[in-house]
Amino acid sequence: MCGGPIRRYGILVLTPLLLVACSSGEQSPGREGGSPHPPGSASTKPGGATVRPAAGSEDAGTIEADPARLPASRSAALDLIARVIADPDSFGPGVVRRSPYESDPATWPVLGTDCVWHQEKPAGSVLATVTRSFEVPAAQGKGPIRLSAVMTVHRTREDARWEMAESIEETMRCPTQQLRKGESIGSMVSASLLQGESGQNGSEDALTEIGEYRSTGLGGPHPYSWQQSQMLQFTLAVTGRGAKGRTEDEIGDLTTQAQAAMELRLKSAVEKQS
Amino acid sequence: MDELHASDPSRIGGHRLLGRLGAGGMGVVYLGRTDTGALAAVKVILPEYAEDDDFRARFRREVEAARRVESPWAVPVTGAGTEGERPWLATAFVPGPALSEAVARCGPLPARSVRVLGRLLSRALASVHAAGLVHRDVKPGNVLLTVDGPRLIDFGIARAVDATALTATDLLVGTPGFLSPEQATGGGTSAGPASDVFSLGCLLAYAATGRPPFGSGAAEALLYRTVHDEPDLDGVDDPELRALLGTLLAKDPAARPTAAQLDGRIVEDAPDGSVDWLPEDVVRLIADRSAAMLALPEIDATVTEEPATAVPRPGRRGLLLLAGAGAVAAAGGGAFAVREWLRDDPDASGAAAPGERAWIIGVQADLSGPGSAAGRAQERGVRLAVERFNSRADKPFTLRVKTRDDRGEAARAVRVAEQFTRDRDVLAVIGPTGDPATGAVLAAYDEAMLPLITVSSLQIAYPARSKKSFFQAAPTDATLSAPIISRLVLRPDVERLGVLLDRSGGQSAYQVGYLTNMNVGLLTTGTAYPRVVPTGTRDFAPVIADMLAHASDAFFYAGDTAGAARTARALAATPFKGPRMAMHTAMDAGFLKDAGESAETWEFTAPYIDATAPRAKEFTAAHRARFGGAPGHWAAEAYDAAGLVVAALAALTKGAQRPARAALVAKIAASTYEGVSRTYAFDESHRLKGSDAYLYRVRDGGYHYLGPAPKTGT
Repeated sequence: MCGGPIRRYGILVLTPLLLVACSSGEQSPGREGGSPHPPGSASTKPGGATVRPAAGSEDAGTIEADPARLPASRSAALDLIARVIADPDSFGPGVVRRSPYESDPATWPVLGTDCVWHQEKPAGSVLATVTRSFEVPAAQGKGPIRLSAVMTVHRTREDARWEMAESIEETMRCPTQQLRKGESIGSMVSASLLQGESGQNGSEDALTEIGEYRSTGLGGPHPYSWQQSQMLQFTLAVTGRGAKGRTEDEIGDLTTQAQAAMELRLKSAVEKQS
Repeated sequence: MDELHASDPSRIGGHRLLGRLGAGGMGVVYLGRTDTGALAAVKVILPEYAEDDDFRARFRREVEAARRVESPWAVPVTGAGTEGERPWLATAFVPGPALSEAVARCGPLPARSVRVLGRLLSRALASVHAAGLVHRDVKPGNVLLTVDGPRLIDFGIARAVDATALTATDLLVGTPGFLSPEQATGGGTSAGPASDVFSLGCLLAYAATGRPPFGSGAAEALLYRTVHDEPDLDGVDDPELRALLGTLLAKDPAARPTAAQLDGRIVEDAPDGSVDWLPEDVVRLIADRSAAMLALPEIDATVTEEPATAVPRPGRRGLLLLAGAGAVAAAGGGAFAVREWLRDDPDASGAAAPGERAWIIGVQADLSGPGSAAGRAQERGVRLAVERFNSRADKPFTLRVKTRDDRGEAARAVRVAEQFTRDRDVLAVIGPTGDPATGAVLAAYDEAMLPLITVSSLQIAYPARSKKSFFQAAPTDATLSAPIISRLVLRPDVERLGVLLDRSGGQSAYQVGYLTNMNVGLLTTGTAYPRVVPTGTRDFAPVIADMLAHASDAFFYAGDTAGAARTARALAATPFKGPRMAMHTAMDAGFLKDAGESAETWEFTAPYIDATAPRAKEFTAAHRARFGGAPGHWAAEAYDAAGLVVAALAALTKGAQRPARAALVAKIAASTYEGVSRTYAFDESHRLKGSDAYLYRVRDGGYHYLGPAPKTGT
């Protein structure tokens, strides 16, 4: 019978994922059975997944952009990325830079047909893309949380939407992926909400992936989380990889915090000023 | 309605007579009820006429003629006795106000209402004419209004075209002011189908302006003006409508369109079960009649906020036939809906006493938004289930249906939910139609612990923190992937399923597409090749070429109607010959139209059963009898959901004690209910157990029902 596998892999895994983006502070005043979160911070739903707070106003995903503030050249795009992409403070206290901090802007990660990530020259539709690396250092018997933030400026909004489509394809075709030698993520599932679906109002499109992270150095499985959103011709993404003693909630809170921070910065950087 | 006279019979032709609706020269019209509970208008001929052989022959012909008329917009004949001592004719009972009364009370109708009237009445007339009849008395008093649409009544003077001997040529048949010039000058025998068309023009002009187009007053003057003067159409501001009325009112019968042509000339959608074609005050007039109806002893009607039912004004002139689709289902025994309940509980009987609180089943549906076709079909399904329940003699309580339209909009859905939850007479609500509305209302229903049963909101999760009173009485999007895989991959010629996920299809497409891709490897030995395209993609050819290049030998599209049609066209332009499927969200008229010949051989899995399915046969017949047409998709499922609620309610009810809402939630959760579409039982999350779905295939430009979708591993 079909019920078994679908129930096991489908509903149980995907349900919390769908809940992830089903945001809003009114509906989730705080962590169930725990201390309430301050407004604007992340909170959790039953099932352990993270709830993204609504970034800014209710229709934060709709930006009325000032055309003059949208980058048309690579240098303008890099300048904008520098003002928007997450820094350690965007995640919250205790997060520091990793080295190398910024990726070589001439390359970006591509998932090959063999389900192995490698660096390639970005497609022609990409004006600029930058990846930064962070971590919560190991402490008190807990392993390090590795974090990254990515911002990509495409030439057109359509190009950005295609990047979102490809991100969804990645977990569909590769539920197990090799990040680099000795590091992999498995049991990947993604949930995706367009603006307006289930209360998703932070961006035009919001994608969340969860899975299990394993590495030769840190063992595993540990929780893995990826969030990506698209507004106009921009995509913003954050990933978090757990380690010994780190919970899914902890990773979720960190990535959600940084993602919301980038969305707000992007909005204020390109929207019409009254 | 007047009480029966001492001399009146108590039964005629299997009808128990409840009262007098009217009396005229030839006989009396009674309100009657059949043994199965259906209400009927029963016309009984006076003995002095019955003894007249000529009259009896004429009556026999009338009945035969009326039986040949088949239209949802004309009243159906439900029975007749032409040979007994007291000949009688029964028609379904329509308790709507006449158009004449509606215009007199509420003023002229807006142009859209007039166009809808014109279109539907032209269909009724086309059907009359196709039966070889001429109505001869088309006028506002012979059109009853219901929320579904108008009903043409009174075939008492309709005569077969060739039955000339039956009417004296010098006898004026019809009503001055609504007669054609040829009737005005030539008398009874000169009326043909074109005369009815002229009369319809008069009727529509009256509806649009509030005045007959040739004035009123003395009959001779009226007839003179009809023959010689131009119609008075002042006040008809809509140029299209004005031009249309002009052609209907042409003096030369040959210059008028036929009734069938007229149907095609009026560009206005039929109301399809909703009230939005009528102005609010007319709807209220119908509502007032509902209330009056309920006050009558021994008449159980369903009421609604925008009700379909009303009671006629008593004593209207002439031989008034109050007929048409009745407040109570006309056909069938009423037993199949609620098969298993009450059978072994003979003590539970007795209708609610007057003054007692109402027992209401709510319907929260999208009746005027993007999901209105589904919403309206569901409203009808619920109505039918409740009416069938109410028609049972041993029912322990009488249920009413209250419908509220949320247009599929979240904000409006919240208001509707507030209204239902505040109304303590509401026991359960069927709906909402779509996911956005459902997502918005779960918290309100949960807080009130009011059972909410949806049949077409299929998302596997909603943002609500708690939704204890919510039931999904249909397979969710997640489970729908299983029948798709079974159909496409469990076959010898398919190794790799191409899955195209189009974001235009929203959550529903995302979930079905994503899980179909994921589960191919879990359920079969085959593999999948997924592609995702963003919202608004128009050119699918490159993606399809890539999928075929990667050896996809079956094809599944998860997305919306427009994308499915583009995909079908793009796929048809390739050499690909393999099986191809899309999901029910794309299965509509738009796909057939936009894909054209490329739509052929596409298959669809859908949670809804088809009207032609063998197990839906009885339901479809009852729906036709009640609403004059086949059930739309989701009607059977809503009928089942209402049946499920009614069964749970009946099982909980002892005497006249209403069960608490929370108790009803628990009872529904524990129910197993055998419905038309499937067997209903719920898991701990109140999701339907099982993944039963149905298969459809496009053939010769239409959707054809193939039967239940195959299951995996069986």
